[in-house]
Amino acid sequence: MVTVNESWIDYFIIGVYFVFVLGIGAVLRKKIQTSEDYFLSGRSLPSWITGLAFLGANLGALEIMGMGAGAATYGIMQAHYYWIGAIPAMCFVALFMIPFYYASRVHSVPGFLRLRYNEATRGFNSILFAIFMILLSGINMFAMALVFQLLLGWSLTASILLSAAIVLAYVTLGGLSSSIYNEVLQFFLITLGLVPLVIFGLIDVGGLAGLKESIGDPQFFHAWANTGSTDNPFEVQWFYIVFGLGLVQSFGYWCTDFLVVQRALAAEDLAASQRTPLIAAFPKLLYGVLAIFPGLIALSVLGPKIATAAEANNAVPYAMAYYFPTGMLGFGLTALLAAFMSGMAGNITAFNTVWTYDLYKPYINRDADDRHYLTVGRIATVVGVLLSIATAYLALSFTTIMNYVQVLHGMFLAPLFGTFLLGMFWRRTTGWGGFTGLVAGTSYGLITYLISLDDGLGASMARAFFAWLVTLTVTIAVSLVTQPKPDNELRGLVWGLTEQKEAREEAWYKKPWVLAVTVLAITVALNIYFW
Amino acid sequence: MSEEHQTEEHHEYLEEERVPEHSGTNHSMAIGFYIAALILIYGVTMVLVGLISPAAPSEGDLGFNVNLWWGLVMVVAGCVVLGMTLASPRRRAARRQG
Repeated sequence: MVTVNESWIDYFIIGVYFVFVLGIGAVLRKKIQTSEDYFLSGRSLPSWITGLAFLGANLGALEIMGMGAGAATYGIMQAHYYWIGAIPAMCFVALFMIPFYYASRVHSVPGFLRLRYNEATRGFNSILFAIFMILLSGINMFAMALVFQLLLGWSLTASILLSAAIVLAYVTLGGLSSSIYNEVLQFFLITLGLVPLVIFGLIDVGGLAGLKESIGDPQFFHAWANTGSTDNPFEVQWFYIVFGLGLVQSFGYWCTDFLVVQRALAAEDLAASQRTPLIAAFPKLLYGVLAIFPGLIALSVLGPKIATAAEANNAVPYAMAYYFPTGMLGFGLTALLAAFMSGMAGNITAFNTVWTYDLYKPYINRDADDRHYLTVGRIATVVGVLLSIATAYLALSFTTIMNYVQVLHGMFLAPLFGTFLLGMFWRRTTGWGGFTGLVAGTSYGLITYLISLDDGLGASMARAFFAWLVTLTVTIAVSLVTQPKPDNELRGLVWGLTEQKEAREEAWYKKPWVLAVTVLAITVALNIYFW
Repeated sequence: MSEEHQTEEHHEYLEEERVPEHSGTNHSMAIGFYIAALILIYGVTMVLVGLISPAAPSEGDLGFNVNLWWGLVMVVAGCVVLGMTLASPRRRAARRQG
């Protein structure tokens, strides 16, 4: 256990953050009346804001603590989750999906599934999505509790309860009306908190060379060199890294996670919207370094203290406590708390929305007034936080939170990506084809996991890939023997039946393909450097 | 289908009713000031902590005043965000209109 000499200065710094966040939430809540307003902000934001918010919405417990933990367990291979596992998909979303989302009526996954497929597909997906959100929210809560545990020296249970109370206060006091504000802020806080950690750490261990020497395992510093066989930390061959992670898991996440995609749709015009994921992609590359290196540095200087799996989750906060004095430490931990709190608030709100409008309203009580649904939503928020307490403990039973999230992605997102892809690009896909494919893929992921209980990252990549293949195969097979939907029902939902506008952008350096090629070239260079 | 149509109408209504406070220019200005303010408060706090009470060194102390130096970096970062917000073409455009 690492302890810190906490002081009132650290508490002051954390306190200032909460005052700011709740203050801006209270101010904005008065001005903003509808959920549409705060999620889309009237579709009028410049792309630098939506780009940083896009990244902020993505930076949760997983991207910081999880990646640090993964780096301490698997080494530099962990960077695949930032590079091949994010950048190509972000470029694809920008170039192909955003114009489609912009032109179509797609604003949420269950909404799309109901229109494109049928009610059953939507219902099934809504239930899965609600469960998925509670599981993810538990991870953020767990990560938040680890920080409080370190800072306050409380037990894990007490820290989890404190986190629950804070998130509940944040959501009920209107914290989400300022979500775009806080996501952009979060980007600055995390960057200013992690950059010094990497700099101090690298100075301390003697640069990359010193780091290699002190860790002493050359496999920890190769991203690809050992992937011809399974003799590498991930225990997986390059094929699954490229197709399982780079294609299925990554495209599944970036194309269908509307907590993130919504940020791009808040941009002022189509060109700015397309630029959003690309602007986010550049700092995303950098975060590959900012999140991975603290994990490696922690492994190097704290070695035995983070050797056990549960302690690996703590790699990043431990490294902060090791290098940062009072004051700086308060700031660093505030940056982490900010990320976990807004991540969890996002999950809880998504849960409450899907429960109220995609499950409760259509299936339980169809004709009530708005006030009734608002109350149901509020109750769902409280229930969601309580359920997350339970799922926070579940996160403890996995090797690291990174392993846990990847198991979940393989089950929930990989099949959904198959369903989305076929629905969008193949107009012959039928309602029941989509439903049976989604059920089959999800069941495949769940059953193969329960049989093997293997939460290794490589195993998750392979499982995601096959779950996706099962979804594609079953959807195509069933579609061929069922009745297709007429074209007029698919307008605005299928590529080729949706009119898309060409984005106009005069400045060459703002053109989407210029940005995409640049960021891809840097990605290739980084992969060669860390070969 | 009819339910979908209603939502569509609802959206249009909001477009017309949208008050100027919701405009992107104001949001982006407010976001710029909000971030600059918080970073500056933190930067100044850390500089003061570094000057007044050089804290007990952390375990992995590198032998320099972390609070002072990183506090200064944050003050500079806060000033850059503030400067860019003040100098933004959007703000000038909004001023001309007002």
